[in-house]
Amino acid sequence: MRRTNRKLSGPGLKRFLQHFFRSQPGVDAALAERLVATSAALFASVRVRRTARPSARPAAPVGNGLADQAVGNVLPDQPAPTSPDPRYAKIAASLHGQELAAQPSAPPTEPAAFDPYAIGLVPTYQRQGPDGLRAKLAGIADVGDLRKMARAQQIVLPIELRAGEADADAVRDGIVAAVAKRIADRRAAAS
Amino acid sequence: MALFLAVANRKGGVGKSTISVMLTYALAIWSKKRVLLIDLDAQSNSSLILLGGDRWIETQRKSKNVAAYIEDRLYSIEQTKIRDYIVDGVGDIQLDSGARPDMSLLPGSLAFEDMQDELITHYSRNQTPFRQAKMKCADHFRAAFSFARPLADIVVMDCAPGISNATAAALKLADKVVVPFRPDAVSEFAVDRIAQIIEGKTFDEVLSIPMAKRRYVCLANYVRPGGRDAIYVDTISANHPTLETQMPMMAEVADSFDYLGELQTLEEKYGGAITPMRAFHTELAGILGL
Repeated sequence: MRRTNRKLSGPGLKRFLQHFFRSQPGVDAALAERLVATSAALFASVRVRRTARPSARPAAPVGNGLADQAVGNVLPDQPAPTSPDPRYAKIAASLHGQELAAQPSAPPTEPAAFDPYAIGLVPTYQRQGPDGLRAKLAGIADVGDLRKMARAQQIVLPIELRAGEADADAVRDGIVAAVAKRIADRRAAAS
Repeated sequence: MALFLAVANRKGGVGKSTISVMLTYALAIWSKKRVLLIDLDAQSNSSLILLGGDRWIETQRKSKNVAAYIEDRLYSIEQTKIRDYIVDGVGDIQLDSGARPDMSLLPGSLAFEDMQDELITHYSRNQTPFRQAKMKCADHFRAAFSFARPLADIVVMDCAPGISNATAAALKLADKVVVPFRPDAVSEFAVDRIAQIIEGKTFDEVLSIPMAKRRYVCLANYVRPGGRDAIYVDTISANHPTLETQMPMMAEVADSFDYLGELQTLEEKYGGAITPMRAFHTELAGILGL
């Protein structure tokens, strides 16, 4: 199964950040470069989602053709917003040393902590079968989150999937197989 | 003629006695039924909750309990009447009218486990095969408990953990079995097993019976808020009929174990637990057609 996200680091990460910040409305080239420099210093690597659509041109013109460089088909998940993202407005304000023009926007929110019980692994398999469970797990991109969910629900993954580098699809398959085994064990114990 | 309800689970500590007593109060007060509770657990927890320590000790001294009844039936069948072993006016609840709910109790006994052994020994005489002796034991218990039928509208049988001959008899006699369970991994196995015993079928055969037609219904007990317990409840309810009502883990439920010796209202006794108790009663009464 094709991966749903891709890890970026080094020059590839920098190119992505340049493309991303330059595509944000209200962010000029100079600000974009400062955001890229700050972000590149902060982030060692980033995982970004793939889209099924072909690469789109950035919304804002770029000065040095960097947007034409290959970032593959890796794009931000959402299209460029029509109003400034409040998170980037704050970053921009701190770099400018002044507040941007007030715009109605929702206060910035922290991403919610991952809920390892968001999907009931065993009941989902019982009701919707392995394909149903796999489909639900496809919504969880992060391998760490998948492992957290398995551990919280006492689903024992094979040792090679429990730690270290592992493909998210392999971990999902491992979860589905482990749930199937758990249900089979329960059936055997009941017989 | 009485409706027989068994409260059973092989697993101990799931709240069988707590739920048995709640059910007895609820059916007597809200459904206005004459309810007899038969305590089949040698631990006698439901008897202690309904009688208090002193009165329960008295039932042991006066041989007015389930072990004495079974023993007397074994050795002097014609003279033994279940009525003589039942205690009336149990519990520490008073209705708004000042009256007591119509509740009676066949008290449990520490000697009940020994009595069951004695019964097996009796029926194993003359080299009777063990399996046959066990069946005769179960028949003995079933006949003994069925004599309670004319004495109440509803008979609630609080079963011991495990599957003793007495519990097996209660499960066969019951019109409906309530299976309390705690949301944990072990409960999955326990509920699967008791479902087979109740239905007298293999696991796959049980799963092929429509949920509404099964002789048992599960009740999630000691439920804590949060996803972990919800998933365990969901796992069990995927295979077994499970009440929508869940009994939460609440201090008021544990506190209801205390026998005050002075009368109080049901609301005073159960406090905040009265809400889930009422929901439990409403849902189960609907299933039973009360």
